[in-house]
Amino acid sequence: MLISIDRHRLRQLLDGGAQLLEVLPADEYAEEHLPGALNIPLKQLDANTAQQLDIHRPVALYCWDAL
Amino acid sequence: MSPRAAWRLLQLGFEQVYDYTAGKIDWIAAGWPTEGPGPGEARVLTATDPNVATCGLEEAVGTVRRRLDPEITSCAVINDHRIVAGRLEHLDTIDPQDPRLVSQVMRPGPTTIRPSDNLDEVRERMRARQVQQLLVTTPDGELLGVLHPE
Repeated sequence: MLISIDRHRLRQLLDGGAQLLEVLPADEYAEEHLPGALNIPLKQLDANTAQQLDIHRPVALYCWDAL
Repeated sequence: MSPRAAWRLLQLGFEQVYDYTAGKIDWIAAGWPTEGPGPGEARVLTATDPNVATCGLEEAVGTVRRRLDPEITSCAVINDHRIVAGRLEHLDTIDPQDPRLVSQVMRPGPTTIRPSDNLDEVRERMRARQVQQLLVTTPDGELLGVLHPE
């Protein structure tokens, strides 16, 4: 199930133990990212790299903006 | 980009996937903390003064005049959620007994800026247009403070 959320709901999810994933390129992640976020760039997101995440826990992800 | 990544995770078997659609810029623009060195240029957030005079929509303007320091000539008009509704200006000319409501007198829709805006660029525009202060808000319009030219 895919659900769009705003930042207030995101904070609630993180407080509840959700995983946070930034899918921007590594240099953009290195410059600045949300607290506690992991980085898997979209172009590298596959079954292998996704093993960094716990498939049984909620995952919230983001990029730069809504565009 | 993030919806595609979210659908990718669903394809890979993840069942609870949430897309923070507005993204990193929205978080930064709200003035919320981040990790990492940040961009090379300074942001408005670093110079935002949280001490900004405010008043409510339903206050009498004379009451606002009496409540605020006499040197203050304008203040931000906010609602119960600290959302900016307007500006009350020329406070120094208001009669302390003036019974009119702020909502009747204020200038609605003032220019606001985000904490994520480039500080040098904003201040350059302020100097060029001789703007003495700008209200800093979140993307939702919540008042965070005020920025001065220097």
